[in-house]
Amino acid sequence: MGLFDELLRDKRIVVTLGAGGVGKTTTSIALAVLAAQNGKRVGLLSIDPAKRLASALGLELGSDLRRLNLGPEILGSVDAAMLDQKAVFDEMVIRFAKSPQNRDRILNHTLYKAASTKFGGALEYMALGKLEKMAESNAYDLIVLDTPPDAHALDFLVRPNILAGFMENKVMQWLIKPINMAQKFGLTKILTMGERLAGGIAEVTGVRALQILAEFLVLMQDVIEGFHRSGERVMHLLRSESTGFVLVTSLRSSAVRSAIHLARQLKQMEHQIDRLIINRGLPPDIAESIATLPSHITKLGPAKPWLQSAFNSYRVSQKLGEKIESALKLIFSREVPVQRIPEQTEDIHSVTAILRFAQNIGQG
Amino acid sequence: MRLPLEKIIQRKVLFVTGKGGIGKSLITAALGQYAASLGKRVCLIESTSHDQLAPLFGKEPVGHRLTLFEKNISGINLEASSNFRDFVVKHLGYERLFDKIFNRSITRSFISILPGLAELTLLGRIYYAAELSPENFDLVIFDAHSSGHFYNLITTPQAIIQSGLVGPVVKETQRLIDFYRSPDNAGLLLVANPEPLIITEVLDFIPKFQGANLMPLAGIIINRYLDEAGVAEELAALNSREPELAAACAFVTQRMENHSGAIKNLYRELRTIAPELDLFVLRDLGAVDEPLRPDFGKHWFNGESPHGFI
Repeated sequence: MGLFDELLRDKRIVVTLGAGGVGKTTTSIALAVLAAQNGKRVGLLSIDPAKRLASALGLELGSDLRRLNLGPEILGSVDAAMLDQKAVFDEMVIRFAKSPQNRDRILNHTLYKAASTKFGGALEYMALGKLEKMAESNAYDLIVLDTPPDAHALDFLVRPNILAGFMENKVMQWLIKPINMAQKFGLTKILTMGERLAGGIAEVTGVRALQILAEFLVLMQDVIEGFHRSGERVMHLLRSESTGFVLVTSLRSSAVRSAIHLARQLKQMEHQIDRLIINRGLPPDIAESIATLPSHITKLGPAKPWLQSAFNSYRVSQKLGEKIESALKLIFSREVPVQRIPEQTEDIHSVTAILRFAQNIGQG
Repeated sequence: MRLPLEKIIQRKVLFVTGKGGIGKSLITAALGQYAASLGKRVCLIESTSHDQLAPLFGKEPVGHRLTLFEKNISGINLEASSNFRDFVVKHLGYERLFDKIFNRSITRSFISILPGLAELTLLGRIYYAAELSPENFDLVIFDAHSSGHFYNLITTPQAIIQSGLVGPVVKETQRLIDFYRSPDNAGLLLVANPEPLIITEVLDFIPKFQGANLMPLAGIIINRYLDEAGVAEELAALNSREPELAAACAFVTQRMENHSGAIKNLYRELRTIAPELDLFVLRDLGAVDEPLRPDFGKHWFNGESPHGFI
């Protein structure tokens, strides 16, 4: 029985989390492949795989799902999309805009054009919308969701709440009301009407900016509300028993610090971590050999600092491995099953390599 | 090959970026120590959901509070909604407006919903730390996000200018663009590890970034490099002489071979795409203990082993 068999069999959604550079995207792909090996129809939402791996798998940037070429031995299938901000943003607008006219006006709006291609941070909304649509469609037995690294890792869980806050605070109405009035009474009038928020923004950005912004928000109202409803349904899905979370870390201080932080945040949001993957550790035979270094230290010449650095890495990674495991035990009051994956000697950028990596993850 | 580091730290702001997990925070902290050892007053900035810099100096997370880490080194973790307030209040000078209008939860919603606002105010705050802050820092180092996120951040002001807005915000945005574009003020340090995949990404990033003309590329830092004359020969000898060390020697040798191939490729390609670019190679330390000793940065950037190892 492999460590992930049960998880991939019983869950409908599996979310991978971790700091940047720990191999999270590769892990997501490997989990999807493992499930497909067991006959599952898998949907995979990926954020930013290494280019060569993506092209080896036939993965292209865009919001369309494409069947990965995994070879004939795989029973199931993996359909993957590598999320591209603009494509998914467009898709959401097309889905939620209340009329074709509105849709076109949004797509051609100057703020929208700037926002959907250049501005950062919006990918998390997009992943949610896409996830919901995939979950609804019943075309997939399992959906694997890769998340963005670093500061943005949990944004996708927080976003719907923020959107909810936006609705409750009636920010939309505050902004929209004066512009509706402006259309009736002319612009100078609204600035004396004590609409504080609108007036304030006008003061900072200029009246023209306010107009553009308000126009945009009026147009976007249905889309934002659509996002919001979609976000709430996804939150519900993510909270249910059928969603599993996999935390990925390497044995570097910063990655472990991120991992522990993510675990705490998840706990606060009443989620669990179902599996921990410690990636890029030293293979056991090498670790054993490196551990003997102190008894040889007096015999070493120019190679000494290099072997010392390997020893250092071994020593600190031992410490960090214990740290993350005990931290998770403390946070979730139970042992989280761990899979340790040794550092791969070659870059993972072929189908064979990803199958081998998946096998490593799937081991008992 | 050595980067004239003392010249580079004459700039007012350095951004440090690169793929996740390659040692950006450590390099930011160590570079801060290096500059501080030359008498500079340094401010280290990050903008993350949890502090990575403070723990390197043995401090609890400091969040959005400027805190002294060690002599001549302060640090802060800029947080989006506080940035927005600081930007409006300290930078634009609209304190009353802000406090009247934006209560906390509204600000949060507002920032999340308006694409680009968080990015713009973050750049504004870094500019403020370098140019306007009463602390008079000589050097600000921003531990920027991974290259993709960094690129989104640094292209935001242009997007705002092109979005059709007018007024004070556009004027301030143009000021940021001009500031970050000047080699006297700002520079990007691109960090990489000597691994083939990472080097390929760096080589893709450089022309794209230089073509965008948003911030001068100040140099490339190769972190965790293993290679030195005589090392390979000794590892080979040890491999056959000391059975216990054989696996360790083979492991280090394998990494050295990978590194030297990747570095050669980097040198060769750079000669074509960016021949003038400075390159700095930092030796592999395996891992470092936290907190860093105050002389860590100075030793590391001088090419020495900064701590006692075993």
